[in-house]
Amino acid sequence: MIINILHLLILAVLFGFPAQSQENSGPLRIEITEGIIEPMPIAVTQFLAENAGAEAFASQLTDVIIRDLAGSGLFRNIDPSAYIGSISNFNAPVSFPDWKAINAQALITGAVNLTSDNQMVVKFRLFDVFGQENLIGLQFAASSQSWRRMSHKVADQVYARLTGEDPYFDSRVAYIAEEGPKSNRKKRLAVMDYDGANTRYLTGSEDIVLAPRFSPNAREIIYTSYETGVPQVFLMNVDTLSRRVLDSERNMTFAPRFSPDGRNVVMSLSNGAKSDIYSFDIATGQKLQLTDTAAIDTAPSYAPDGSQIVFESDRGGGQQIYVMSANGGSAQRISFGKGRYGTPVWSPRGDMIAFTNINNGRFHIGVMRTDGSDEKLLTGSFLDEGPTWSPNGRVIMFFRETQGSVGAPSLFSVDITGQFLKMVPTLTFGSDPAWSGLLE
Amino acid sequence: METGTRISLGAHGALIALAVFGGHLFDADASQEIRISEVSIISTEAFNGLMSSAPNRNIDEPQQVKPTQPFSVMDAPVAIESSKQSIEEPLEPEVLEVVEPEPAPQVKTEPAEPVETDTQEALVEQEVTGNEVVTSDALSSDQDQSGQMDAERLEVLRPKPRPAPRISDEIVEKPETDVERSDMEMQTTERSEEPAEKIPEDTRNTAKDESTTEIVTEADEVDPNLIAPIKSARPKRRPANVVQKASVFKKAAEKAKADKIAVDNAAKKIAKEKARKKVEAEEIKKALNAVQAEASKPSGPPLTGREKGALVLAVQKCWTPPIGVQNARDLKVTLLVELNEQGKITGGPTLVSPSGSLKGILKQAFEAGRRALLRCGPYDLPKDKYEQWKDIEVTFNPQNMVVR
Repeated sequence: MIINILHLLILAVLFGFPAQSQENSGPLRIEITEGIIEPMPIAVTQFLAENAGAEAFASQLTDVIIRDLAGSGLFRNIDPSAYIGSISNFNAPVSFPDWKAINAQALITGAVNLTSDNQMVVKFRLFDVFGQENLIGLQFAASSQSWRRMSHKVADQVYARLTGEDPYFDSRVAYIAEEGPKSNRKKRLAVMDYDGANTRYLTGSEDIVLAPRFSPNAREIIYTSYETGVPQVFLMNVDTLSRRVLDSERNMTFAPRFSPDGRNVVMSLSNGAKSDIYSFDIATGQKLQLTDTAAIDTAPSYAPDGSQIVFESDRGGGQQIYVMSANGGSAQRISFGKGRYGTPVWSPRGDMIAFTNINNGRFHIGVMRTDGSDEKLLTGSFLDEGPTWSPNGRVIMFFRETQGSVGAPSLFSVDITGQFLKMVPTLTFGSDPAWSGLLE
Repeated sequence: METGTRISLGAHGALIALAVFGGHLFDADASQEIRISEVSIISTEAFNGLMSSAPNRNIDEPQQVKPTQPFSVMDAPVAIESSKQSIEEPLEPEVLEVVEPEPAPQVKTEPAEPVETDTQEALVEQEVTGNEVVTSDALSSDQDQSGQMDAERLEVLRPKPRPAPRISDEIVEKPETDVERSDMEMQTTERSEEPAEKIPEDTRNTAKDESTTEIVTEADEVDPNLIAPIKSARPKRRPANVVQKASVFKKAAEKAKADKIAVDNAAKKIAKEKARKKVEAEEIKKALNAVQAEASKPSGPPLTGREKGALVLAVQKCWTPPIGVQNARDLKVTLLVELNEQGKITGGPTLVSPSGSLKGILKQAFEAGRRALLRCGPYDLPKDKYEQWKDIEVTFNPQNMVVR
């Protein structure tokens, strides 16, 4: 027994010492696998007006940039009253210790110049304060009337550089603007910036309009209108406001959506008893039937690569979500949670599908993987419906309607973690939002 | 047997039987069992976040969802006007034609010529260059040193504590007087009328402050025996005649030649000697480096698990990987930092892996790691184990994230 113990000791000594020497060689190594997810504190300093004409814009530009970044839920703007340092010259070197002292992890400085012909130049720099590095220096030039877009562009650059994700601030939202009492609600097609500014009305309020959708380049909108007495899908040019019915055969058509390349529109066509999904070639007007069941197949949405279509159907008895090839054929059910599922929308990133879930009389906006796994409900209320994805696939906008005789719809947005829910300001009541891609 | 005893025996027997066979009647009620489970504690912000996305919000508050005009007229100069008009008097489709789309901007880059575009609101984007990069240059030179983050910069990270009050609370006793006034009478001296003895000025020549333009060490000094002429010319004889003078000149020339050869030989010898010394110096230097490298190897006991864990915690509390890095959960970057004995970063953070230029999301991953290390220093580590932690390689792996 003692001999065995001695053997063990000898072995331990023999193998233990090399292990020790291995431990001692080279630097100490550690691995960090858990971090803290919280908004990054940043300092967006007041943009400097380089001439008198730019003074009116400088502070407004700064405000929009701050609102964009802080509104994403990923950044926290440090109150300027906490600043130790100041920026009085865009080209002067930055005193990083002043910004480290207030724990600003990123610093944004900028300047605005307005020329006599109303051209505006907005330039900015983004600094990594602790790394003491200038991460970006860019400038944008355009008419001063586009100052909001230039602000969004600056915020987009900052967002993309700091997060490593695609941005979404320079984008628009089409929606149905609603006014008047619930019994006599007037509806108009409207377009606004993603943050609720620059609203434009594209139709009058004589006819009921529904479910607008942007084309990939945001120059056209398809929507459903009762202008002819039955619901029909119209195609409208946003700039000229010219419009036409998409299906010349005057069928009941609704729930349209563009294909990723903008050449086709997929939508529901109904004969009154059932509805099937069709693909329309915009240029030729030819249509291709993709589903043929006795059920109601509707709300189709293309995958971003155009290879598949997700839609809702009650072919299995209840309203559920299915995925099929973009050319039609057999469909596979992907929603298996409690309640009914509808209005599926494929994420621009291609990894998720947003949907509306109706369970026990309550409506929820949720997301799931494209195979139906990892389902997560993000919101819940009396009526939450109509999800639409931000261009980068990180935020979902939808509308929430309140209960009762004075109930009215409003636009809301929520990020895909469900942590950051906020109301989107609109001039009137709003429903059926459709987010454009990033503007060119 | 008395009745009382019988009753007692019967009752006890029944009780024992009940205890033995009716055990399940006394089982503890499972519903009364106190179950202990861990609960997670969430912050107020998280709670508010959950509540904000909780169902049934605003159901009974229709007035809260009434959209308000979010921005001032200045925010949307053109469109708001048209929208006001639209609110007051619903527009006919024809009227809507009046609503002009936003005018196409005259796009212009600086300093390039104006460029016409076909977009409605074209924006031109360009890097800030030219004179404006003056800052960038200044900053880049600054930034070049950022990798070598000096101690002064890190000092700024945390405010210095206020100095403690210097006046002690304790009353200090008055020290005993160790010097007392002497009673001895001192004699006073009076100024003498006689002139004081004059001190003669030192007129000797002294060396100037700077006697040489460069410092010559003993090692560099050349042996005087080597550079001194081996033979010296004889003292000149008194000239007798021209012939004698000529022979003298000839001999002098020969001697000068011989001297020159001797000096050349000496110089060659010196060069040879220098080369030999140089080789020796290099060998010594190599040996010294080897010794130093050996000495720089970590020594002493390794850090305990607790000490290492504390370091991990110190770094991770400052690590806030951006959303793009979180989404790429298999993304790993390793950074190296050098610390001084006070735990301050004196070198780095530099990228160890992945090697090569950083592209895509790796850039953000590296920057997030760098920020974490720089923000959280100095690190409290055991000084007696300094050799173990003076260089630290930190791998950031966003696989388990905490959502706050």
